[in-house]
Amino acid sequence: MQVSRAIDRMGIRNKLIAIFVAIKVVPLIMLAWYAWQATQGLGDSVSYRAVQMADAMRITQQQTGKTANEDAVRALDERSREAIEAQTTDLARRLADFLYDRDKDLLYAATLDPSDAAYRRFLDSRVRELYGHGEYKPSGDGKSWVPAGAAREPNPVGAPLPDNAKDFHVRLPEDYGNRKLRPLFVEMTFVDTGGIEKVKVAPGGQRPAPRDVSRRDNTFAKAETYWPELKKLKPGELYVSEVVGAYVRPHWIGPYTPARAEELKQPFKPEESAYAGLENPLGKRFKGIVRWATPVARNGQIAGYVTLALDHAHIMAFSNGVRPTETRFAPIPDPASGNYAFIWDRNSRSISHARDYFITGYDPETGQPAPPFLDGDLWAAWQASGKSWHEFQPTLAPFADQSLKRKPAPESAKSGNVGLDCRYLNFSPQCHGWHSLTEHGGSGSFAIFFSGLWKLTTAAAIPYTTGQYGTSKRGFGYVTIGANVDEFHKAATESGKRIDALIAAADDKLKVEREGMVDSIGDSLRNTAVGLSVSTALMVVLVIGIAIWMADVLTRRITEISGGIRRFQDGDLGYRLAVRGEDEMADLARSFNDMADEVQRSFGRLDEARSAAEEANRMKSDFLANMSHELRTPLNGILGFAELLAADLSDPAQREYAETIRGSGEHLLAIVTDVLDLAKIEAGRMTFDLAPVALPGLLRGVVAAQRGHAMQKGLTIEVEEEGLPPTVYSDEVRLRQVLLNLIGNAVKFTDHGRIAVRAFADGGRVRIEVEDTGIGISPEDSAIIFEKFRQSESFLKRNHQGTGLGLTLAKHLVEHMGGEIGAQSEPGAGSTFHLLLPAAAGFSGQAGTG
Amino acid sequence: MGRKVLIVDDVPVNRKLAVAMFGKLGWETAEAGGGHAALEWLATNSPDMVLLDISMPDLGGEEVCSALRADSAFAGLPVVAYTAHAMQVDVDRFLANGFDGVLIKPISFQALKDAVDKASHRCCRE
Repeated sequence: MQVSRAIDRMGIRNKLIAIFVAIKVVPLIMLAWYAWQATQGLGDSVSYRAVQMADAMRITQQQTGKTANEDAVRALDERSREAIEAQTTDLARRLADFLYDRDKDLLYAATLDPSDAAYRRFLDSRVRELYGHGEYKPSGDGKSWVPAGAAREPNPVGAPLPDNAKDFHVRLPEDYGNRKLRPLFVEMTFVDTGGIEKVKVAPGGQRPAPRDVSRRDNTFAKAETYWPELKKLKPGELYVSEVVGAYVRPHWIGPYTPARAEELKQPFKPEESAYAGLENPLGKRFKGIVRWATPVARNGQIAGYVTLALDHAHIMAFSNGVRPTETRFAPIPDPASGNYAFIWDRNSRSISHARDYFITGYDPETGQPAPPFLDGDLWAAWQASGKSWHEFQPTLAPFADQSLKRKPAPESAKSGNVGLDCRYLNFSPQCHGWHSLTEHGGSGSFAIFFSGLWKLTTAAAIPYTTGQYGTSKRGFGYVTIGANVDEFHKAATESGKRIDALIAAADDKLKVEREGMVDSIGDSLRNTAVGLSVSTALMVVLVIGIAIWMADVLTRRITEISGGIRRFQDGDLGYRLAVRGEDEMADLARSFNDMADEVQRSFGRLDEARSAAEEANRMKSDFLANMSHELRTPLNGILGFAELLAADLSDPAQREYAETIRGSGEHLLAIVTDVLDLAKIEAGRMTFDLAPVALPGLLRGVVAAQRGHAMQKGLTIEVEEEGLPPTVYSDEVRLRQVLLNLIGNAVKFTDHGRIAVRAFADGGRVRIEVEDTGIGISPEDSAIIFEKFRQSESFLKRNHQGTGLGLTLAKHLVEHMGGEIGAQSEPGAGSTFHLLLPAAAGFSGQAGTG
Repeated sequence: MGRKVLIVDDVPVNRKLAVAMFGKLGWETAEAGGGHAALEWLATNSPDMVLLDISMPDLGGEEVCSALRADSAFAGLPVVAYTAHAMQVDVDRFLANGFDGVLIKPISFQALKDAVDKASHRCCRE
């Protein structure tokens, strides 16, 4: 409603502008908005896809890296396993060869005359190099051992030429330690058929006291039981014993260092505890032998037996320096590293270990096997049995329920007897594994999580089958090598780390690029938004400008037309619109011009008509003026001389004649005056001077003027004073003329009785009444008494003097003063004439009705 | 000593009436039948008043009045219009253009007497 009113109030120019804006700007803004939405959507989708692609790429890279690394680890592990298995097998082979060589030594020795000299020559010629380590001393902090001498200075060598630079790899000479020649055998004996040592030679010219070896007490570590076996031998047959030696006890298991001693509140006496490689380089060594024996035949008769006691250190030498790592070999075993080789005999007893106290041995006092390291259950069972170990052992099942879940018995560790007998080492399930791996004399490996490390552990049977060793596929026993799995794939792990680093770097770069791309998309979006906004704003401004211009162009012509119409309206009838072009506006201008021509012509005709009318009117006025003049001129003589005559005549009759002439002349004059007045009114030449008129004075004056005449007729005439309004709005002269006429008529047409004049307020007007008790007017006459030259029949009958124009003139005058005139009458009883006039200025205006 | 009035009118009857009425008032009268005659007469006579018709064939009363008012010799001479022009506008114009009074035809003796008194009084108050 308000909108439509507002639209109605708008000018055409504004409407045109509004329409242009509506049909151009709104779609423009919508288009811009749509474009912005689409751009934003595209940007969002590109950003999203880019982020997804980058993430997918990153994940793929990571997975690729991980897979490659895992593959590499697996490949390296496989290769390492192969290498270590090969190393293990090779080690077992070499050990077997070494043992077989001792068979040959023995067979040769059997050919010698059993004499001190021959045996000494033989022993002295049987030496083998052993590589030992140098002096070690506790480190400054007392937590480890360090070499006492100067450490080997590495001397890096670079590629001499660019052509050699690729994979140029230098390996320093192996540190085999101090090479020493050591006799292979610790003793050589000739035992007669009664078990008495007839010849007994030790290296270096010693001559131990010969003994009766049929008695165990007289054997090495009181543990040898070979005599019964010798007697079973035929010439050429060989006997080879197990490893025999006194068990060496440790003070405690683990590093033997000043710090550790202090921790355990034990005296630091490394020399009295068992040797343990880098854990105790000063320790007491396990001293053991393997005895070879064969009959010495003379003339087909067994004369006795030659025995050779192989120094166990030569067997140890096979395993002690082995490092299943890049180092390959070290002069001192590092038991804590877990990278070392062990040797087990065919019964799975430890015969070579980095820690000497793990090597099974015999109690040098009793010659019985020292109790081995036991787990809690077995320890408890043994203690509960009340038996000695060698009595208890035969009751046990080997490899019983071995598991990593079992833990070593602390009492067992504390007892100082911790030799490893794999058959009863129930907290080490690898024992059972190795035993099975070598069941058919081959080799193999498995990985086990032991001592907090994943270890690859291999086992290879030692293919030596002489004597008792020929009864088992394991031969002499088996070699095992333990290696940290992590070490194998260290390269892979490192390359994995490098790959991870590369991926992380790539990932960072990708992230940066991804963010950069998202940022640049954002920038691009922002630029698009700014560009879109600016161009839209420019377009909007342009469209509004064009709209205003077009509206101006269109409305200027309308404005010109309306201005021209106004100019024409203001009276410039000669003005014509310029006609430009052939459009609707031109048609409009042309139509206007045609209309203007017509109007101008009409005005011209009207002017002529008006001029003619004015001329006619002027002529009429002139005629009236002339008429008046021409009538008055003869009347002057008539009236004047009649008056003079009447004054001069003494005869009453004559004087009356003169008076009659004068009266007739005055009547004629009255007619002339009334006619002229009427004519003036009709010609519009009578002027009215309207103003507030003091009514009471006026009425009294008019009544006074007629009183004389009334009294002559015996009439009373009065103004009724009550309720007289103070003023009436009228032309005083004309109102007096009207009232004189009305009152004069009342006197004239009343023979007896009274005449009353009154006035009172009637609504917003003033009503003036003249009431008489005269002859009255018949109803049919009432209608015509105000017409020109009409008098009622009764008037005529009575032959009253009158122009017949008085009431007509009164009506005209009253109406010209904005009033009304009327009469009520009852024939024979009297009449009442009334006037209704405005009480104040502006009440009903000056508009006349005539 | 009687006063003298010049009565100017081209209509003899009107002159005759005026002469009669002035006679009754005891005035000496002289007559002129037109404007020119009036001016000629006035050139050699000095009346106490001029009663002057307006519409005359040869020279109108207004022209005559103008001529008299333009001549200092006639200063103080009362001139009364004696005319049948009854329109108020005409009367106003006459009074504005040098007439000392207006007598509208038809006249009564009383009207003439009043006009003479008034004009004399107005004219010769000094």
